Amino acid sequence: MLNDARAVEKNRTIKTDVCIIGAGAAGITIAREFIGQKFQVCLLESGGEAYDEKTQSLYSGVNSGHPYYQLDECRLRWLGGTTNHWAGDCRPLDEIDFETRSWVSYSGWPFSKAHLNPFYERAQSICQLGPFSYEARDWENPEENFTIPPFGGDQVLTTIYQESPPTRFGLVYRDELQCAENLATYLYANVLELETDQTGRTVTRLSVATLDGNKWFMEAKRFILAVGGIENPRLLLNSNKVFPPGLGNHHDLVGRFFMEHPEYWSGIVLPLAPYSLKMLSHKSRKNNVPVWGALTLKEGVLRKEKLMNFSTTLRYVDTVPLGIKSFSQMKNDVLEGNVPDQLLEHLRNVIVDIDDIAHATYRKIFKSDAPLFPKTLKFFNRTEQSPNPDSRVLLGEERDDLGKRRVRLHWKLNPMDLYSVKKGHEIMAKEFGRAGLGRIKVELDDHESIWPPTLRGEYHHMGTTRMHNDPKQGVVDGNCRVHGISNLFVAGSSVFPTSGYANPTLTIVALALRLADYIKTSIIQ
Amino acid sequence: MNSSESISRRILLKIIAGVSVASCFWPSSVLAKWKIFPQECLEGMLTGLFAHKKSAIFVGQKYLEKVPNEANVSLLVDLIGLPQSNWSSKLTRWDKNDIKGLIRQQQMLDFECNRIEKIEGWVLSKTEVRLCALASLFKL
Repeated sequence: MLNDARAVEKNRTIKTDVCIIGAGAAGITIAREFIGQKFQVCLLESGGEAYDEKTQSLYSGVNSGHPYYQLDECRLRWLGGTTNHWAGDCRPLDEIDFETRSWVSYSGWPFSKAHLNPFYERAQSICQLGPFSYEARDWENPEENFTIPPFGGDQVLTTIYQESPPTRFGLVYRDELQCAENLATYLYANVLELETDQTGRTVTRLSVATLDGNKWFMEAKRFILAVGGIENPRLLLNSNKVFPPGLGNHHDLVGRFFMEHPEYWSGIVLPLAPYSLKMLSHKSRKNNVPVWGALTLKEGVLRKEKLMNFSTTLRYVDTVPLGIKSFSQMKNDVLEGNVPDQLLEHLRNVIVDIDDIAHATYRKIFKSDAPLFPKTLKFFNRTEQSPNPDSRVLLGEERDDLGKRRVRLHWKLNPMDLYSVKKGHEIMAKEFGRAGLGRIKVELDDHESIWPPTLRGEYHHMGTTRMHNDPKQGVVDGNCRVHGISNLFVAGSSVFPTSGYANPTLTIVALALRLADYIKTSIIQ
Repeated sequence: MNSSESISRRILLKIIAGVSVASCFWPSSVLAKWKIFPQECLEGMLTGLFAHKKSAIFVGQKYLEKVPNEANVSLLVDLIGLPQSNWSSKLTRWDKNDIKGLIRQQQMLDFECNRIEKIEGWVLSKTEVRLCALASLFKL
């Protein structure tokens, strides 16, 4: 049933068995898994069923590190959470992302990818995707020239992303939530604090408030925090009546290791066989599932060269001659990485002159002797960020309309994050050349600490309540239970110890299913 | 120029051309003995290779700005690394496609063996930039 928290009697205490805080992808997935069980569940959501400015403004905060989005723009605060502006790209993490890698400090999950695969498989249908296969060969479509680029060799690999419609969890699963007999959803319910007993080892109740001044309490045997990678640590840090550094923060880890997926333009491709690269530059649809491909380095190369993981797609961008643009247009072009390249045109002529096969291709595509593409083909990267304890979510000094301290995000990157992409591009450039597929211009500055001006995040907030069985290295254990607190669990991407390059939503849902199974089992036992 | 002079000139050009063609048919030992460097053949090959001469010269000049000590025809021919015997044998049986095939193999080997050159961020094969450098020296 969907309830309005504003209508709950003031100072009332509602009791339940399991309380889920946050109705985004993680919270709704867990709630659905509990439907029909023999225990009572409450799901608390700060917003209503649509955007409202006052609720959204609770997400405002400060950025003090690497330039980032406004914190009330990159997250959404109503039923369905940030899935309400999710683009829908899905891919599981790679096997290497779960491993402890000697060249990546703080790497390693408490389990392997093989352990999570059954949950990934179940997550596919929840995100309205196709079968659980991300092998490029399973998605080839020769009729559309959507085939694996013929690199051969042992350096690079074509991987696949599937595209969700995208699933707006609040819309798609609303009716299920409303009709569930053992589940009560409360909208407009803002959790101010998780209150504990005097030992700080058990959460006893939540204090809940609404923006119109109402206040009441929720008691439960188990609590699951699922409000996102920035808000999860914020709520823990603000729950500090018994332990001033914040709940679960005995080793000063809550909020640390904030990771994003840096994305940026990084190079130009001069394709000698454009149709051979279509899997990397276009979408296709097979069995009614939209897919697209990306290029990555094989795991052996990542190990040998000690690189972070990343993936690259090719995108066509408009190219307009220098002379006809205004200064402000040019400035935007620089920021977007769209500066025309004079050498490109000459190189294209030279390479096509030398290579008969490329020449024939260009002549076929362009009937005249003016073969230039009106668009430029560029590399667009999504990279894994290495865990950095100084990249973190903290509490700021300002308070929101509910009197709670707002968040301050200090996003910090490591030099190896950029080095990995530069080195990876050099390897890819050689592979393009070796395979006769083209030439690459790497547009990343040689200086190790100069980040591309086009760099931005992807609204992926990870790592801030990281998972590790050792309480000195993680906020939650391998079952996502907060260390030192018997009945508090965390769901969502804040538990990721490492980020990989894959969009986090599919992994969020898989981990949510895993946590739900664990809690169901523990309740039964 | 009067007609008799132009005829003489035409004859002279034919003779020169004949010499140039003839030199392509001479075995390498003869060439070495006569110290004839097959520049005419080389220039002819480059002209046949690059339809877009200005582009080849542009790329070649960019390369030589970076590596000025390679601005020497003989050195570049050596560095490009097509075996001398192949040069002479190919030059005796001039075939553009054979040359292109050799170059293509060389390009792919360059990338495989890390014989690359970065020019303004572009990752290129040493063979192709040196061929362009030759084109720029000949001012095709």
